[in-house]
Amino acid sequence: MSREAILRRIRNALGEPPRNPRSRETTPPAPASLMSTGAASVARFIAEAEAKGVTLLTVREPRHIPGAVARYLTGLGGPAPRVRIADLGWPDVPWADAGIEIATGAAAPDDIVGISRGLAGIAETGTVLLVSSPGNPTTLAFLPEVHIVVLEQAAVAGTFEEATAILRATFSPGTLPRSVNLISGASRTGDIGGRIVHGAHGPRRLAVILVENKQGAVEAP
Amino acid sequence: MQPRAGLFVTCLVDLVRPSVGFAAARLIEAAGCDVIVPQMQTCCGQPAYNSGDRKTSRTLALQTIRAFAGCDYVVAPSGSCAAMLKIHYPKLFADAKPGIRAQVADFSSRVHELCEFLADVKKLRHLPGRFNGRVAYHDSCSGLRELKIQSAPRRLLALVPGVELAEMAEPEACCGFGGLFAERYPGISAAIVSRKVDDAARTKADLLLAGDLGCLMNMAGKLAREGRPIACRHIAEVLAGEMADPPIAQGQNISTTAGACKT
Amino acid sequence: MIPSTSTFPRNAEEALVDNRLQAALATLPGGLVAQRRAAVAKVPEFEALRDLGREIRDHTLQNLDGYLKAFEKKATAAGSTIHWAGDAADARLIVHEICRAAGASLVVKGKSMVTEEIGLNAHLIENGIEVVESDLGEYIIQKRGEAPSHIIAPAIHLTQDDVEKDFRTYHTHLPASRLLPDAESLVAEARAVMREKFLTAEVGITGANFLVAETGSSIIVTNEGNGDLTQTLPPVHIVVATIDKVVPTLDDAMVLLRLLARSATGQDMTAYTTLATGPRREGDRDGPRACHVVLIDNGRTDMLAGPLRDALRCIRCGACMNHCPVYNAIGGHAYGSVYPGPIGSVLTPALLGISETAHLPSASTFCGSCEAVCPVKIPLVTLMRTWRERAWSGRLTSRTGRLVHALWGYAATRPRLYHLLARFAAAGGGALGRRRGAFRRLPIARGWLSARDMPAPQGRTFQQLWQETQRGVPR
Repeated sequence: MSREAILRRIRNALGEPPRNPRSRETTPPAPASLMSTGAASVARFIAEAEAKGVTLLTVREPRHIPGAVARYLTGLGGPAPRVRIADLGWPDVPWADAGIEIATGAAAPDDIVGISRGLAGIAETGTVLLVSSPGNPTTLAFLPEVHIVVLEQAAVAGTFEEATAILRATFSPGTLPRSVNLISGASRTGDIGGRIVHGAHGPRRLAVILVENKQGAVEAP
Repeated sequence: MQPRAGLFVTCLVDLVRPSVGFAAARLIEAAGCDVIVPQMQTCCGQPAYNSGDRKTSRTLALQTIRAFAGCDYVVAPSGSCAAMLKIHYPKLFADAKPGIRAQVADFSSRVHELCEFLADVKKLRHLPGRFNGRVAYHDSCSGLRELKIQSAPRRLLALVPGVELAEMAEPEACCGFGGLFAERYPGISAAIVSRKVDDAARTKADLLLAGDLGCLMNMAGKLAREGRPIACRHIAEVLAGEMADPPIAQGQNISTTAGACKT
Repeated sequence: MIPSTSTFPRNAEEALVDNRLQAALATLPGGLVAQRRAAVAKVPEFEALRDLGREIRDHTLQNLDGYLKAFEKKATAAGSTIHWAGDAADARLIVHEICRAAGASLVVKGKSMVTEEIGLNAHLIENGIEVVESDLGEYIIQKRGEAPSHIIAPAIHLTQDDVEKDFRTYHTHLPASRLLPDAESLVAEARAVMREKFLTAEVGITGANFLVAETGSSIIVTNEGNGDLTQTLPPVHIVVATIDKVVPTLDDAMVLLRLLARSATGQDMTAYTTLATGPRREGDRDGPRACHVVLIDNGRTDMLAGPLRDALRCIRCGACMNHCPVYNAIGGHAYGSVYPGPIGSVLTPALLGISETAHLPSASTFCGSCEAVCPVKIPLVTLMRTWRERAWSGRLTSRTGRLVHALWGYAATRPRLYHLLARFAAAGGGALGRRRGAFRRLPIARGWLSARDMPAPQGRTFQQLWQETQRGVPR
């Protein structure tokens, strides 16, 4: 059955004349119990993410990121792995100083650590919002064993509605990059006897580094 | 002059357990109403309605409505019958002429389930019944989900001296009766009622109560088949002190007076 | 899958004595049911969200053609190719053709109920293409040759031991002496096996929880991340979705996502919620090179015209079946259909016809638990009753049942006759049953009596006794 036939069947079934689609203004605000602003938002984001097993680290400035990563990976044990990083948006982040060997580009299947750039955080559920771009490949979030997201603290929003507003502000109307990922914890499954196990297909661990970055602004993606 | 409350007997109470009808009448009188029992009532029509036979349902609906003309209230000791009269009769006539729709709407507005009537409409504060013992209360699905009746039965039980209410883990879980379902799909129904009676047994209650005789016959029948001691009665029997008859599915030669009126 | 709805009574009987299944079902109350309750309790506005979700879905369905066209426009602008399939056969042909053109020998799949509905896997396999389900639960049952038993947790009927046995049987490339002591080791093994498939498949097929008209995106929701690997690694991505999956805007999608995860598993968000919009963009380092979206009707337009339209609001959360006493007693396979539980009892007759499926809406107590938890307030009981009405007027119910019903109806609409007959029944039943208070055996009501006793009447009818009291006769 062709496109026209299906559309015609729909129109016949509905009967009434077509109505105008709702405009964006008719969407109600988020439920009050899910809202938060400012410092309370950041606190809620951290609490919700930690409740989902995410490790939260906070650094004052971008130049402290490698140190935080190194400490986190040391804590996990094992030899220091090579780290595949996205374009995090700051120049001169001193990875070598922290003894971290970096690579860029899409993730390779045997990568142990991938570091992505977060566009926003959503405090409502402790979710990080990632968007794909040449400098932020999606596979960094799925192929490695350990996924780290670097996020500016100022980019933590309260609710999903604020997050969609950020997407609309960042991209032309009605367009999105190839992949927009809302990530709320590491990969897990309950499919075997109802027990929750991590690392089903995606990363076993997720960490978020919040960058307070009171001084510099982050370049646009 | 006292209001006239028509008692919707329900077909199960009429046939199987009239003492529930007498208990309901006693309570309605205690609430300050004259009790009328129209003779031209038989069944609310649920068996036809839930079988998909709208035609017979409508005939029974009109028969019922006519029978209760002149009553200020229509009170039913059954959540499922009350829901049928109150919620589903208007649906049966949604496509009818405005005159009929108005008549049905007027009737339905006067319909109340017994506990809701006593507790919320008449705000009865003193009950004739007495019972020393532990009871568990099963929320029948229609009463609970269609008529939103949950606290009224419990508030009434709290007014009966001597009653200790012990809640089941899942008082809202279906008992598996479902009208003809219990006959058509007996294995599934049995599995559901097993779960319910296990839950009831764990409360160690002396009495298992509900507001629907269908649920009660199902649960009592299962308990009797398994030889378990917990007795089943309609909540009206406890509230009204109508406890002389044996509990449901228990005979007159049962030597223990489990569930009989204790004072 | 091949439906077996017409043998529902036998399916149910087998399920009731399947101890392994019963043990798995016993985990539902403390599991998915309790989890949903806890999640909903945290959001005082949940009722309002349900109303909003219902309104969004109603509005979309009322304007379905407009939103589908809007979705098509945006998705095409993003580089996707949109296909329209009238029925299951059309859809299978379209997907197969895309796979053939891509030279596919291996397809990986994210979880998708509609691909079960259209029998896609079998069709591709018949045509020489290997198909591997990437969702762990789906992978397990695919290996077993079973259909999913639940729309969210397809392997809920299996235990850890079952899975270990299966992995040892099917993963013959791994050393037989390996230890698989726990769920972690089984998951690790599945991860490694699937990884290789993700990396070598030519085509990845996913369903869509939602299609967003505003941006031309498809949304998938997983905890494993398997859907993301499926739609990112292979060079060709195919989205398969029924036409009722479209939602107008990103904000609408967010409202529905709030409802979906909580209703399904009690999470406020699954680990991965992803919006995919077309193939990789210029400069992207990963992502598919080609994206296709197959929009499927397969009976949905028929449902749009009448009362069944409400069932199209479904967002596939599975809450209805988690809370259904019948589903809890027999599990999903007994329904014999891709969609089990209450939503299955409403949808399956629409897809397969009521004459083959009349048992499904019939086998319900109408307790209403499903409606009470449906995030988009589908009137499931009313819709099941609607099917019962169609079965009734189609004379699909048993002859004996109709005869008994006719006799009962004749009497019930003639109160004097009815009361006379009731007096006889009460007297007879009372006399026979007074001593024990209940019957173990009767020539009627065999089904009831197979499992429980029948309480005996007290001996007189209420009408009879009441009239005596009115005449002054003491009780």
